[in-house]
Amino acid sequence: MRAALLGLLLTAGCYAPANVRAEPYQRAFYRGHPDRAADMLQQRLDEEGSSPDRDVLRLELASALVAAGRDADASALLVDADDELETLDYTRAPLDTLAEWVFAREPKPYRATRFERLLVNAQALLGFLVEGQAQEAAVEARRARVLLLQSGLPDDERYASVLIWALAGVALQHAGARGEADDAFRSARELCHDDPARLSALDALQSPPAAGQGSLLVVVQNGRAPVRAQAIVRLWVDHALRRVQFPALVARPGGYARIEVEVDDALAGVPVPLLDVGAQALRRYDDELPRLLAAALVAAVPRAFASDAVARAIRHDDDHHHDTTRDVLADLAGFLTGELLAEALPADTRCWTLLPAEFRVLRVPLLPGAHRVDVTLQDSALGAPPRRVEWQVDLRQGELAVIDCVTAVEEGWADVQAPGEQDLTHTLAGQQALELLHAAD
Amino acid sequence: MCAETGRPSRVALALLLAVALLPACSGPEYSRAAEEPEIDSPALSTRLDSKDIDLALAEWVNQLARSEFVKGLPPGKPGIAILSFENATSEHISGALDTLLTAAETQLVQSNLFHVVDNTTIMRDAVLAERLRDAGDAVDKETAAALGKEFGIQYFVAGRVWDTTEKSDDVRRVQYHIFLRVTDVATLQLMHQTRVDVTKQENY
Repeated sequence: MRAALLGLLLTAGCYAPANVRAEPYQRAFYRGHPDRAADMLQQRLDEEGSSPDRDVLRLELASALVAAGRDADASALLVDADDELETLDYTRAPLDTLAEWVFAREPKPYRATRFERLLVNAQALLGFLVEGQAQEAAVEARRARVLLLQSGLPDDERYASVLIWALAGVALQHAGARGEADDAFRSARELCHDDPARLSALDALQSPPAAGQGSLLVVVQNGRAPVRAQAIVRLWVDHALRRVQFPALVARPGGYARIEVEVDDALAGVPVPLLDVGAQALRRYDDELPRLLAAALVAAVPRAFASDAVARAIRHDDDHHHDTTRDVLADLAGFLTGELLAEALPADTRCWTLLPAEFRVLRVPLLPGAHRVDVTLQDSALGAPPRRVEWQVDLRQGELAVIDCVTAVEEGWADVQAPGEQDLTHTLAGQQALELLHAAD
Repeated sequence: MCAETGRPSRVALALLLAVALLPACSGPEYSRAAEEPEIDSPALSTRLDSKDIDLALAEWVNQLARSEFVKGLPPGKPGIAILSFENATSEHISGALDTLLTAAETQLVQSNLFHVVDNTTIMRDAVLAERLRDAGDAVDKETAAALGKEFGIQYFVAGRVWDTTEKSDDVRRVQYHIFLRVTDVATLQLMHQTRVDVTKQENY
């Protein structure tokens, strides 16, 4: 009877799939109003200057500014954010540190993942390149290099990014640091051997303009990166059911499959994907999941004590003799207490949501003079109509013109469904989490 | 009854709370280094600050004054200009380098050894400024000749700051290497070179 009642409760208590909560600035951004999104974010920052969300809001604001074409403002903001942003390494931080930061009772200042931290430098670099500030772009290239080569990390835990090495190469070359640029391109090349399309894109990226020519660099930020969402998982730990909330990473639909660049109505080329943010983040998440689960359980221990205590208090009340009904009620009360506490203590799901899912890059030589550059976007994953985004470029001999195109704006808002409740006890991640937990005891 | 009279009134409690909250509501406080000299001392970031610039400059002036180049200067005041300080580091220190350039010009003027043509005057010549930007610290013969002809410069100074930056989980260390070199405009011969090292560290 007890088992049946518990089973019934688990079914009834299952977390009904819902949409991931959307902020008004996100809707404005994806509906084609990045400038309005930037205003909303700026207003929130002005009103909640010392809020724990300040750092993540600044990252969101930088993305909105980039999409609104305000690259100088975005770069300045990212430089400031980079100085103050703290990092939380989900794959290496001790469990109690993870528990303290991801499952805190009170909101804590935002801590970025190492990948987000790297993209702070990449986005600032790009912004400086768009603004023609080669030296400042080179500084960001070097800052990204420090992160890519971070000492104390095993090779397989470092972020290897063809895009970031390649952009660093372009920035350093443009700033006159040719030796450093060659090193950066070499590192990019080492990461994409056996991939002719990317190697060919790297050849083009490394080619400085020939005599009497300039060059055009087009970077397309396509789609939308995965976001963190509240998820509820169940795990049996030492014969007791623990139900915890944790920050699941959820892929989001979006992005254009066919992207082309035209210069003065002639096809100039097809940008090549150099960084799949979504795939890299999801791959990394698979590595993070056991530690996140274990940390969630560490954080859940006080709650588990609470629900167990409620059950014990009812079952062992001295005024009553052993009674099966009372045992069932005790289990029920303990379960409901745990349930309430799990719902009341959500995990930290803050993340840089306005990032793209992928970066595509194209560099082509161009004669000096005025040109019209169109980026054509077709085959939207969200069914958005084909688009043509236009820029006017006035190029001088030996110069590099840079276009940064964010496709997600105007592709439309799309709800994202939060993951349903799952029992992960018998999954690989669940077992690894339990091993981590026991090892930490 | 007695217990009732001994309890603080609501008004008193509210006043106490207001007094307790008062310091938290006050705005930021400001200090003046002339009154509190110690505020200049602590390093607040891994960038170059005023103290680093002063130390680098003092070292440069010291080495330059003792150099064979200065001892062998021809009579009269030869023309000199500081062209640029290139930032080849992983820190946004362009502002600090602008300060370093102006401070170095000041030192040259005060040395009374040179006729100093200020950097702003040279950079006002758009064509020359672009040629100098493209050249970095490798000024070609034509540009050097133009500097000599148009501004009466016999020597130019170019600086470059490199860094070696390393990061572990709990430390980020930036080792700056500031190179300053004096070049003869006519021959492009390197007359004097100084290296000054500055290290800054951020502990997490």
